[in-house]
Amino acid sequence: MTVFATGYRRLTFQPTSTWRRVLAVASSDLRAPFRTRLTTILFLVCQLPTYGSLVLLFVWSGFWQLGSGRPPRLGIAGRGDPASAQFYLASLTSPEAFLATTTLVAFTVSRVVARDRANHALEIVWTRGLTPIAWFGGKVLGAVFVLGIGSILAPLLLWLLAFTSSGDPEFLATTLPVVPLVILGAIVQTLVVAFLATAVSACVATPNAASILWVVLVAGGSALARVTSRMTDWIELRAISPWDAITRTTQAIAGATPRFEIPVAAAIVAVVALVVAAAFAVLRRIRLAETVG
Amino acid sequence: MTIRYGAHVAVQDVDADLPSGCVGLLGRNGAGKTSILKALLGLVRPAAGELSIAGVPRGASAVELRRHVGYMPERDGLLPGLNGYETVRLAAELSGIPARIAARRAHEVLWYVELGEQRYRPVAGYSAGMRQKVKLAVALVHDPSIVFLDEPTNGLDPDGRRDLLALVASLARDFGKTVVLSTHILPDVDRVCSDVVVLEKGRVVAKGRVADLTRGVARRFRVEVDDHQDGVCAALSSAGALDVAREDDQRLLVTLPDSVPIAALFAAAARAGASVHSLVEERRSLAEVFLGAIGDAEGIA
Repeated sequence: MTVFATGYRRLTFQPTSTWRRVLAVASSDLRAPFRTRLTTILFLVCQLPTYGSLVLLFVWSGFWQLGSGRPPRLGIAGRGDPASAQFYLASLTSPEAFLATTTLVAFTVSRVVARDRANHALEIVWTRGLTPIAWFGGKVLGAVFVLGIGSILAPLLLWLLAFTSSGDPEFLATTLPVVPLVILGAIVQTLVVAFLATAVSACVATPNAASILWVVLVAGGSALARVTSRMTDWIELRAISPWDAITRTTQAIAGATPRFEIPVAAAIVAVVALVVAAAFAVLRRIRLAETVG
Repeated sequence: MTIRYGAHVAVQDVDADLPSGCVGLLGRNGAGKTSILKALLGLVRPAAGELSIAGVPRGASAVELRRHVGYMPERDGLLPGLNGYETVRLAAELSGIPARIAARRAHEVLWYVELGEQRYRPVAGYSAGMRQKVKLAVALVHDPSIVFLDEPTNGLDPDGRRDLLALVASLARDFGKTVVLSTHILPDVDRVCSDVVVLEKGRVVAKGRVADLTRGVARRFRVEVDDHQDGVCAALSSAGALDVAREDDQRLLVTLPDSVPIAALFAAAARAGASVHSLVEERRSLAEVFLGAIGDAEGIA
């Protein structure tokens, strides 16, 4: 039956659960980066760390034969070895991942709430069957979906590819204790980054301000942490960088060798403090009063 | 119902029924229209009194209330990056409609508001009229019993305004919905609303059927007669007319009490040997009613 020319019709339906409504928000946000050519290209470019790992995997498996036939020299131990956690964490904790994630978040996730606010879209979404906090939860979940493609799904696929290309049962025995912890670390990192980025977006009025605030928070925080820890020779101060604190926590969960010896406790405390502060800011800012002007 | 924001009283002792049909909600900025809307949507809780929607249990949650209320905002509150279909479908899913039904319903409602052909175009590229229509589709997608339209004809050309008002009138007439039209454009209210509520400083200063309010306290008629004006005037006065005034050589302005039927007017003309060429009932305009009600309220204050 066609839907045109049916006119207006009465509608009866069994209302869906809150979870389904939250999922509708998240799935809409998952599609958001792919709605324009520019953001699609940006998304693909920001997966560079994964492409790097894929190349190393091809070399490791012998699919690509390089000149000498020996594995390439890598600065970080285990970066080119799919049997180590470091290989899978490259798309999460490496300097390239820092650059890629900061850029991707700045242009996509950190703008979602601010963009809706600037377009007065809150009047549409908050006057329906979802509380603002549940709607915000949907936005965070959408951010997790967007970031998770590179940070959770990619390591998992790399491992599956490594396993199938190695054809070695010992590879499975070696990596099986490692990979679940890596994925757990990836999930934690993705959740924290998604929450912080969405919170930044929820606290400002315009999408551009949200992008700038995100870059200042991550890149500025990192620079500040670097300078202060060098000046004071106090390595714990590196934890004031949100990115360093988050990645150190991820490495601790995954059991990987850290690039900087930030104490795990300091990193975890910094991450928890950031999340709590962001949650308070969101609760203060996301108010029904701004729905209908 | 009384609504307070801290010490500020936005709505005081408002007591009104919104019957099914089209109801105009009139008032100046700050009169309390938006506060009533917020209460309807469950966004604010009345400090005193209550608000109930037919078919919704008393004490229902705000989310449950919103299932029965459709809201078309004044501002272009549309989701960025989405096309018409995606916008309406997402709105449907956020209202609790299952995904498959939401998809179908979004198509149906977009066809109803005459955006069927343009539904896959990005909303950002829509004209003002199309944006208003997609907002109307969003307000209607979950089949609410009350539809609140905030300045729905803002920025529309005469054709777009006529089309949108026709849709609004059809909702009330053909589907038994209560359509609350909040607008400053009084001719729009005159055109589609059967009832009106006038608010001033948080209080209801006039309410009722548009026909009753515009009629005023007495019936006035503009009568055109061919001749014998003096005789007609005398006959009308003796027939019980409250006032008879000459406008020009042919037209009289006659005020009749409710007790005197219109037939008496024809009879008086016949007695004076004149014939009636035309008879038009004079009504107050809605603007006069609105300004009069507000003026009365200010006088009382």
